Amino acid sequence: MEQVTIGELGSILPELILLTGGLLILILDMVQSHGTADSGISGRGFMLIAVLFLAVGSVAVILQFDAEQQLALSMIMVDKFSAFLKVVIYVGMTLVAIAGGGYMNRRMVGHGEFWMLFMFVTIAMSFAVGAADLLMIFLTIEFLSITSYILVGFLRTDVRSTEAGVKYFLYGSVASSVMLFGMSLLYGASGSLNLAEIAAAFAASPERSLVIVPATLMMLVGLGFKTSLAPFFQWTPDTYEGAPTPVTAYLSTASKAVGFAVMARVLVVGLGAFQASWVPILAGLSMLTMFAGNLMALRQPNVKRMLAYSSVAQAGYILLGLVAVVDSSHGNFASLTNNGLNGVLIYLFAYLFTNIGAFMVIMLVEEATGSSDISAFEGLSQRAPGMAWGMFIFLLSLTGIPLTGGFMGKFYVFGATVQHQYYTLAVIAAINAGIAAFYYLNVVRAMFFTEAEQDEDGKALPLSGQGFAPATQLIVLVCVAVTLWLGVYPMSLINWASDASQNLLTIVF
Amino acid sequence: MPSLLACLLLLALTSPTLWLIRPHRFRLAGVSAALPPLAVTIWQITQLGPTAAGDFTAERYAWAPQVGLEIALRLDGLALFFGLIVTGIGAAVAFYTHYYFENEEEQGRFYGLLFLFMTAMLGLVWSDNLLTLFVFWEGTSITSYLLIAFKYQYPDAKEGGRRAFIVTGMGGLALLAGVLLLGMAAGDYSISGIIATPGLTDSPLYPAALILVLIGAFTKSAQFPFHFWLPGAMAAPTPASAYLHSATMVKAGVFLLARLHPALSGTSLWFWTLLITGGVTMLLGAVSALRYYDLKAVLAYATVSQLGILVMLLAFDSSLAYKAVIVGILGHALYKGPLFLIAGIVDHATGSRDLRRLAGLARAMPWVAVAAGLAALSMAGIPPTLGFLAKETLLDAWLHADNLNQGGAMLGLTASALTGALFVAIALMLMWDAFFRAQAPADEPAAVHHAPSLAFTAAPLILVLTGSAIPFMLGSLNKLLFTAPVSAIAGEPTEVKLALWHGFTPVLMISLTAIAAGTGLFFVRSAIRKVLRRLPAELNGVVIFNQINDAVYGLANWVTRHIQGATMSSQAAITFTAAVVALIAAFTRISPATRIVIDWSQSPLAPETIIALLLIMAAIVTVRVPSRLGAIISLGVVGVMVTLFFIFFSAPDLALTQLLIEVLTVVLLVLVFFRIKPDNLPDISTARQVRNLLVAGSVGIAGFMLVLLSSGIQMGDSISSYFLYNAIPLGHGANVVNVILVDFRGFDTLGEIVVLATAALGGFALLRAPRLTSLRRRFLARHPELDTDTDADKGEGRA
Repeated sequence: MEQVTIGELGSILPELILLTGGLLILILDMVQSHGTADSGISGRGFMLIAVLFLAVGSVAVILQFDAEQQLALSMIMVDKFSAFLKVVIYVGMTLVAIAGGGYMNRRMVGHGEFWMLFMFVTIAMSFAVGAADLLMIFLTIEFLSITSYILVGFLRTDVRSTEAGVKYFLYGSVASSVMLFGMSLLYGASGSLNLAEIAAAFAASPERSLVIVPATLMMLVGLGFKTSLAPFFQWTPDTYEGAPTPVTAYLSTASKAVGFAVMARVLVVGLGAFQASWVPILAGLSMLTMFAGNLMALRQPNVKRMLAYSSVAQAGYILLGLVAVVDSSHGNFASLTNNGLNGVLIYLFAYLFTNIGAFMVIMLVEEATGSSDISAFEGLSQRAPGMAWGMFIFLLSLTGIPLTGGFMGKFYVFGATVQHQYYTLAVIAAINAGIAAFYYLNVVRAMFFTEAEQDEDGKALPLSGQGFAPATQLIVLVCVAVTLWLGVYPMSLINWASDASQNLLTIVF
Repeated sequence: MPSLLACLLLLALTSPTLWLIRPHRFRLAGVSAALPPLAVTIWQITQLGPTAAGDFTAERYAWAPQVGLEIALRLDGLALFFGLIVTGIGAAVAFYTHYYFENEEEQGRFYGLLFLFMTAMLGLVWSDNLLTLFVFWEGTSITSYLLIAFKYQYPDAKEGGRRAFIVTGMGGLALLAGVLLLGMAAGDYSISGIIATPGLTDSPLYPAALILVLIGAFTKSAQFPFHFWLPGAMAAPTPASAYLHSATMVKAGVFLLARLHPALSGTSLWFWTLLITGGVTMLLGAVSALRYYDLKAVLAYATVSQLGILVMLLAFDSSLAYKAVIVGILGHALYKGPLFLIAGIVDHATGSRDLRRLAGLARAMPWVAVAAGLAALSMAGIPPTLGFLAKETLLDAWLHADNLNQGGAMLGLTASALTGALFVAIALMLMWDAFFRAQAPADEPAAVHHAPSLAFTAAPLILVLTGSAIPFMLGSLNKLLFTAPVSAIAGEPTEVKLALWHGFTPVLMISLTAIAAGTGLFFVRSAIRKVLRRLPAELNGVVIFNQINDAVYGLANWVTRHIQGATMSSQAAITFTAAVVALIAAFTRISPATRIVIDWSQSPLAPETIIALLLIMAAIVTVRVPSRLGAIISLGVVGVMVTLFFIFFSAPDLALTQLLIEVLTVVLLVLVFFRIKPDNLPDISTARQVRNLLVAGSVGIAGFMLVLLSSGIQMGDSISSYFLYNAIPLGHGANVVNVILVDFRGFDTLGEIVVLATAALGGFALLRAPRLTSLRRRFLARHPELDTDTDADKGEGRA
């Protein structure tokens, strides 16, 4: 039994800060009277508190950057890998909060509930990426899921939002229970919940390793659900389409990143020695996911739904990085530039800005036209040129065109796949990238190559409504800037991601 | 000074500038647009001397050095040669564009895209790093797409653009994979490094890398079977067709092959792939060109043919072939580009590009006719034009082809000569039909209603005159212009001595025969067209592309129909089946028969059997019972049976938990369904029932196997003994459970308390929610008899 000291709480400082923020919002919301709409703190006020605490939490994460790798509270690993993902999460959630806050505030019944849940979901993700213990992994994933179910169905009066929430919940609960079964198999066979100890236990008594494949499969059901891999992705389009767009934005980025991070940690740290068993499973899932996502995205008339399927396909590409994660047979793994895992991290980081940006543009169009169908995007280049060009950049990045962040991500996972000589997978990925170009181009075509509705003078009608929310526009601009910056000058990101990934890989080998 | 980067930046910055100043309002916009590329051209001309002497300007900028990504530019012979074509013709096209678009508002947008393309193309040919090259390569693909789809009002333009982008985009991905493999094999991404790596062709990665690179090059340079996108790209405005789809971008593939020639050539894979692909493309393009009446379509297919020639020549390892490539590229750029520009002028002046409607343009547009005539002479390869020189070197390369036996060389020679003859026929057709014959065959001949200004004509005229002058300056240009690129392709210093006149050689004889044969073909062109028209349409690449396209969409439809919008049970069935299949696959791999020991001697006792049977019955009732309430209750029975199992195996704590959960579940479900209309479950078709049964059964079997598996594994040691032994010495308490709660797991308990407190806070907030309050008010309004605080509180507490 390890001793736990109060001092160790310092290593979960970012989460404690978020917890304080969440509870503060909860209490403030509770003590103020609900009598009149104007009294007390408005939704915007709570949003400010949330953003403030997210910012302070980010500072705490940055403080952890140079901290030595350590296991806090015997369950949570504080290392460069988790720090990288925490940055992804905090930045993503801040972007979503600023850009989507207004959208949510206009729609919700209470004032503080959304922001409280928003903080809690961030805590769950923040803990999950560091979780080095099966119990902690299950608890955080479950915490994340349950909070997300509520957030997805948050618009109680909106039938689609409610349906999305229920669907997400039904799939999610089944997936979680299957994952739990898998974890219990691992625990039973190894006698430990700690990932590193599990690895050691299996190394010590190899005869127990016959549970590895079934256990991995069952755990991948739960994690595959979180990352919307085929065949566990059917909730994705309905949920993404029905959920409030800001919630969709974080589900498709930060929450997905968490799923991949946990998957990477479990597979690399806990089951790294059994790479030969799980690589084929991942490869199969990856192929299936890419095809399912891309083929179904082709026929979607709704851009939000199309992006949902596209994000399924993107999950397939990201998985390539885990398939091609460096194995121990490559003795000098440190010298390999493409260790697969850094590809995953780079991809996730670039994808964060690209996808949040894209969803925010969709949200603006939705707000202005009342629809997110592709027809709502027709002639956008004339009606709102800034947004159209922003979306163009995001679509280029999603396609993986050079000089965008998306290219760097694709380059790394694709490069790792080729370097580790999974040629079939590389070919299938290339074919899929080709298919993907079709539907991304459809949006480009609608925005740039289709005439907008015109008034009597033959001028394009500007979008209706009181113009776009400035905060959202700002975030779209930030996302464009970062997407391009990552594409043009990715050096620091690559170094950082490689550092973080090496950190995880050195644990095993 | 970073001259190379400065040149690229100059062109890149010209792009937004020209867009923003809205050039259609200015008379001098054409001149000012031509100035930046002209300046770059002049700077490159000053570099001719140093480059020929082997003194290459090179610049490197770190980009992402961890992966070998850097902007590396190097002005060797080949780069300079292509760079001159890119900016030289670019200047002419930029000048021409202003007059082509006259005062249309779109001019600015076109200029913007054109200069973006020019930057990417120049960067491509100057790159000394394969990854840099790839980045620029993709840049040319995107700008090409945007330029083809420029007139988006026309469906042809959108379709053509998309087709081009998909084909070249897929090729780009193949190229990226090829580049990565090549980089792995050579340990270096820099082109000069790769070329200097010995024995690359012996690497085990070589075949895969080569094929991928070739796919990239072939798609870009419109080689068979990817050639079909190029004619479709003709929907672009004519300046773009002339520049991208004739003079520069489509040569990028040829450029890449030439660039990597020293490193990758010399194997039979390289030789035969290039030879056959190039040869087929050459013949196919030349024959197809005769079939069409649209000026641009004819020129496009002729371009495909010329690209085939260049690829075919690069198969060889002989300095004659390299010379033929270089002269061919230059000649083609200087006659085909102008011909396209002239097609644009004709279109502008008459409103038609249809050869059946055109006639006698020479009278109305004499200068255009002069330019067209000179270009056509070069195309036909009449001495003393650059085209003639190109054809001579091509035929000469065949005569000295030592990789082939006599028969093969003769076959190639004949095919090349035939292509030459077809070019003569095409050139004659263009000139005679459009410019010189008196009467057009069509019912509505197009009349010149809008004679071009001299400025409009100037660009093609200057290009053609440059092309015509070069053969007479061979003496000085041999060393200055041709030696360096030929050496770059060869990978070693190679001396070039081109001359117009070699005496009455066999090559000249063949050349003259080809001209005569071409004239003959010209006279029977209607007959050839008739024959070509009989060919089945399925042979057309566009048709095949569309079929693939439709197939992908069909598959997408099918998948979408079957997965999306299906009922929840179908979706779940797919997921479950996938999981079961994977699990069973896993079981087969661990051979349970040898690893799992089952003790058959202990037969199950009667109570166990009864509970199990009841359990199964309750489960069957749950799915068969027609009402929801019945299903909920029988589900509760299933739970209770599980509880009984726990009791039977003496696990009272588990049983208690299970029972609590079961009761709560049933109560909650009843509460929820209480509010929903009590209609019966919908009917399910027999087929679906069978499917559900199968899926459920297989999930059950998989679960059974899993339990069997886990029971066969030796578990880790139980932790309970630790607590039992240490409760008194470490915790000083006899009640082990208490010691665990407050001592061994003190922090856990604290955490649990915090969680409970937080949950209570949440519950409190929920109860105060306005919606619930109003619900309660409505409920009480309907049931006034319940209006006591205590009753209502109970109801809420349970919810």
